[in-house]
Order: sequence, then structure tokens, then C-alpha cells
Amino acid sequence: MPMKKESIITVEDVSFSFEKTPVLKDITFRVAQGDYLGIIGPNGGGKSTLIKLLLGLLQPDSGKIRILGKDPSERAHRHFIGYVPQRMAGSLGYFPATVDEIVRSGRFAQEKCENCATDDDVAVFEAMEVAGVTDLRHRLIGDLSGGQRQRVLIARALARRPKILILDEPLVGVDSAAQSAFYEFLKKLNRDMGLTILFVTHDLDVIAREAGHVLCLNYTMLCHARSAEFIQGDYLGKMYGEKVKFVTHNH
Amino acid sequence: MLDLFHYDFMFRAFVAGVAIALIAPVIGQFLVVRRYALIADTLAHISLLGVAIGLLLGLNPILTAIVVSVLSAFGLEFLRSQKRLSGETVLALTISGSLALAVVIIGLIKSYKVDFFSFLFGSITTVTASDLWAVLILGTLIVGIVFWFYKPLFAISFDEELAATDGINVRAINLLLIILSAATVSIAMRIVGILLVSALMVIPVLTAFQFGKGFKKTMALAVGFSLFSVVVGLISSFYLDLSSGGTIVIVAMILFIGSMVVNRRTK
Repeated sequence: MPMKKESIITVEDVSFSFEKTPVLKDITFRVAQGDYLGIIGPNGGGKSTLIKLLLGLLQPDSGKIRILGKDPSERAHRHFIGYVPQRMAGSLGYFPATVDEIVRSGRFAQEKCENCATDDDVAVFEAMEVAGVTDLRHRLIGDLSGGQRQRVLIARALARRPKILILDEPLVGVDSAAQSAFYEFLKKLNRDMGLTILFVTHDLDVIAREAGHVLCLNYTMLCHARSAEFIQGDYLGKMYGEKVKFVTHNH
Repeated sequence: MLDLFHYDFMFRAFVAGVAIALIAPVIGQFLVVRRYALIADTLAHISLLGVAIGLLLGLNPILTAIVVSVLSAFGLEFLRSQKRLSGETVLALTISGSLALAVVIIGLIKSYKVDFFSFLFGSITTVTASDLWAVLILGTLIVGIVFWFYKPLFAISFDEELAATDGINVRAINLLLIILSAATVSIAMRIVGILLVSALMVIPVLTAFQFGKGFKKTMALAVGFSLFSVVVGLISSFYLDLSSGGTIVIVAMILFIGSMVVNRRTK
């Protein structure tokens, strides 16, 4: 558990039920500023629900969530989090908008300001530069490859200059070469820009290699450990059954 | 060409037509990108019920159509948000239900024929001065609201969940869009007719899509195609003595087919 660095996210005893079905129970963890946290667990294990709670889209039945000390549903706090949703990249073929328009929409969460137009232009330009999509800015989002679309969605998230980047299984439908490049890019954002990253995925191998810490969820929180400890521990057995083992390989 | 405007009714039809041509594709684009194109058609059927009520009570049918369709917009959004019925089912139910009610009410009116058919198919000769004012005031209001709420409307069209994380009240903006659509349908029906009003909201947008531009440029192109369709359609219907609504939509269709041929984009 990170102890020295300041906590940017604190989750204390959070439980949540969807209608009458319990989804999460007694979840408690902290995320330090600049951490890279992989969130794993089986389908229906509550990963996406946890993300929605962190984003303030759902309210916990009990327990407390704080992002930089504030409740996530407070509007003034929205721009601290950049979010890249699940299965988004595959569904954009029909939407008539340029990369510039999409990235710019990431600024909609900003509070009113004096030099909004200039601030917006600078932030949008910077976000596109960092995500490497500046050359694509006049292209339609629907004309891009899966990997390119995903970078555009990251640029959209970065345009609000967030402190936390949350990605919910962002690589569904993206080819493996683009996936490797994408992981490198995330690592760079985490290392060079000090961005705190929460990454929900099914890809256990990659998350153990890339993320600093791993959080395992299946209704309850089964682990919150450093990646190295996670690989050595018996957490997979607890989550997926006895037969699942860790096989590491380098791409 | 000029003798066209010697007739007061033609002048009124042109002003109303141009106003409608500006609004219909703007609202239509927000519906089409969300695959809500059928909502325009549903609202048109609801407007028909509003017209029937207006004619029965001797009130301005455009105003009653707006009131009825806006009230129904709340109902549609409520049913959609409940998620107990699929979106398509809600629309199918509403289309049949409102048409049935409209037909029954129209049956109660003794001298309905002339006016009612002009609402069904559109007519340039029946645009009254009060209709024109209704179109201009509501049209200005609709354009103003879209301009003011462009960002949240764009955001919910792109992705509702992302919009919610931006702090946008997705339900309120969805409701606003349906109300704007209801108002647009109601004011457009005088010129293009209830049966064809959704075509003016959808076809110019689909034509503009073929050019592969961004959201705002697509909207500008759609307005251009819509204006061209309305102006050419109205002039043709005047000189050739054709139904205005039908002619406008045929012009819009020709533009769409032309754009498909010109822009055979490889996807």
C-alpha cells in the first residue's frame, strides 16, 4: 500500500446494489497521487460500477468516496478526472465530427472562466500533441483506426487537464500492435506527466507488467497489492478459480 | 419569377418555408446522429392529434399541435428512461395511438376536409398571418436555444455517459431536444405537411453526411440543402400546381441521390 505519497482517491467501506442485486461490498482502498492502478476481476465483478461511483455517476448505498478530498458528484470536481469509456472506439463510425471537435468537447466540464476561448485552444492543442493526434485533427473520427480513435478519446480526456485518468477496458477491438503502443503511451503519461491512472482490464498479464498496483474485484475487494506481490500471490485462484495461473511473457 | 410574390400567400409561404428550412435540419442532425430519426415521425403523428384538437375546439391548430406534442415529449422521454419498453416499441405505440385518436376526433368535426388535408400534405396557400408569426417567433426561439445549448447537445449526441461525467444533466438535455423537435415538427407541418415533415429534418442531414465533414460544417451543409429544397420545391409547386410538401421532399431526395453519386466515399 502506498503510504508516503498523498492520497488522491480514498474509498472507505463502499457498498452498492443495483436495484436489489448487491454489486460491491465493503470496498476500501486509497490511490496515491501519480499511481498507476490496474483494476481486474471477472465480468459482473463490479469493475465498471466502481468506476461509475468514482465518476460520481452512481452514489454508494453506504461508505464514502473522496476525490482530492471532495465528493465525486460535485460538479466543480468533474474536470479533475478524464474518462475513457468502455467499447466506445468501435461505435463511432457513424458520428460526423472531426478529431478537433471531439477533443474540444472534453473542455465542456470547465467552469466559467475569463479567457475560456484562449484557454480552450491551448488545452486542446496540448492534449492533441501529447496524444499524437494533431495531424489527424481535421479528419473524421469515423475514418480513423481503432487505435487512433482511442488516442483521440484520451486527448479528449486530457483536454480538461485532469489529475486522474480513468480508462474502462479501452482496448476492445484494437489490434495488438496498437495495444502495445497504447500501453507505452499510458506509461509515459503516468511517468512524465505525473498523471494518476486507473485502468480497468481483463488483460492480467499486461496489467501486472504495466501498472504499479493491482486491485482485484469480485463483489468484495480480493486484493490491493503492488504488481510484483500480485504475481506471486494466489489472488487469481480466489477470483477465477483454482485452475488459473499466471504466465508471464514479454511481447 | 417576380409574379410569384404578387400573391400574399406566396410571400408568407416563402418566409415560413425559409425559416423552417433553417431549423428542421439543425434539430434533425441531433436526432439522426443518435439514430432517433423515427422520433421526428412520431412527433409528427402526435402533432396531427394536436391539429385535430385545435380544429375541433376552433383554436390555432399550430399552437395546439405544439402544446400536445411538447406534452407528449415528456411522456416519450419518461417511457424511454424507464427502459421497460424498447425505444422502438414506445414510438410504434405512440404513432398508432395518436393517429387513432386524431382520426376519431376528426370524425367529430363536420367541415374538416380542406383544412385537414392541407395539414397532412402541406399547402402554400393556407399559411395565415398568425401561422407566419408562430413560425417566426418559435423558429427564432429554437435557433437561439440550440445556439445556447450547442455544447451539451453535442455532448449527449456523442456519448451520454461521457456527457454525464462532464457534469451535463443528460436527462434534461434529452428532454430539451425532444421538446425542440416537437416544436419544429409543429411549425414545419404547414409547409411540408405532417406526413413529410420528418423528411425535411432527416434527408438534408443525410445528404450533408455524404460530404464527410465535421459536425458544424455538416450542419451548415444540411441547412444549405434544406434551403435549396424548400425554395426550389415551393417555386416548382407554384408554377406546376403541385403539392408543396411532396415537391420539397422530392427535391431533397434528388439532392441526396446526387450527393451519393458525387461522393462515393470508400469506407
